[in-house]
Amino acid sequence: MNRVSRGRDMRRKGDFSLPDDVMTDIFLRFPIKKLAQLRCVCQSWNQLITNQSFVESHINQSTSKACILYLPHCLLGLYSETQEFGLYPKTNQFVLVSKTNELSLPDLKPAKICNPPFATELMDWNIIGSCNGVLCLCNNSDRSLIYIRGILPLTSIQPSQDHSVNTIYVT
Amino acid sequence: MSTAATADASSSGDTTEGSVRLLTLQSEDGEVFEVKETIATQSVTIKGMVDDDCATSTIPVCNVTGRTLAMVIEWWNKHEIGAVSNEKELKEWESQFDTIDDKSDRDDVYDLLMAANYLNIPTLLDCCTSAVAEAIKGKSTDEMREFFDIKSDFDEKEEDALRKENQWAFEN
Repeated sequence: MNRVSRGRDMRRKGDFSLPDDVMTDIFLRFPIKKLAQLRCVCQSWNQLITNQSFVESHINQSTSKACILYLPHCLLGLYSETQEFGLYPKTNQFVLVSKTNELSLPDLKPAKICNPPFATELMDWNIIGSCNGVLCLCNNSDRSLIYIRGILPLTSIQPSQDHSVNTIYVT
Repeated sequence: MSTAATADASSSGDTTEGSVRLLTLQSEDGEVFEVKETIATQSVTIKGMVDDDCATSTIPVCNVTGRTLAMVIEWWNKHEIGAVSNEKELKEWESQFDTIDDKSDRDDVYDLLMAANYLNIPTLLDCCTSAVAEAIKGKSTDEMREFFDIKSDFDEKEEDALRKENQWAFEN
């Protein structure tokens, strides 16, 4: 860019405050891990990122790309809006397993979260399914369910007496 | 040039260059630019004015300095349909926006972002937001505050709680 001296400066020197819709465009380019860091910068960023409409936009955007969520104990869950896969490590390589095929992952760059906030809580869980970015896991032993939705807090519920599946919405 | 533009220009009687209608844009600090309508309508805002027949006199471009408007016009010229036959050349030219290395780059990108937002130029907006995202990708919280000139407005307790909640994101 050419560097002629600036004309009348319309803003406070050094200021880089952008309108919310522009910041939203920038934030939408980041994965959840980076967004979690951005939340800690200032109040307005925290509000913008945890705002329901931002979360919806981010989910809509990421579900078209497919997200990979790392779970400990050799299980990785890959979820997209339309498909669910299991992803298992196999001799230093991850193998994507769908119902019908075993696929290698040359082009897939897993956004691995090394230490998810809920790591220790996911020892014995199976992926039940996902919808609109909400991932549902079921505990193998007591059949309780947890729902995970992006950067918003983890919610877990205990099973009802008759073990029927409860429906909750994470907000 | 499209015949539609020619017909439009001859009927409106505005300034023309050859057969192309010219629009007059005036920056906030008074600089005047004459720009081909076919180029300036890459701005959704200006296109709306042209469509509504409101672009017959000088168009004031508030909040955008002459220096920034000149950069915007350079962008338009490079991105005029049919103007650049060499895709590679365009990519190379655009790549200057990829890195924000110093203060003046940062200020240029900021000015362009504000102009692209005001004039609603999707391609330029996309390029600049991508540049900013790229620039802050590897930055720490403090470095981001410095980049955006933000002071933390959390009280100590709030920040600690938020840090704790998002601790996992700061680990490798």
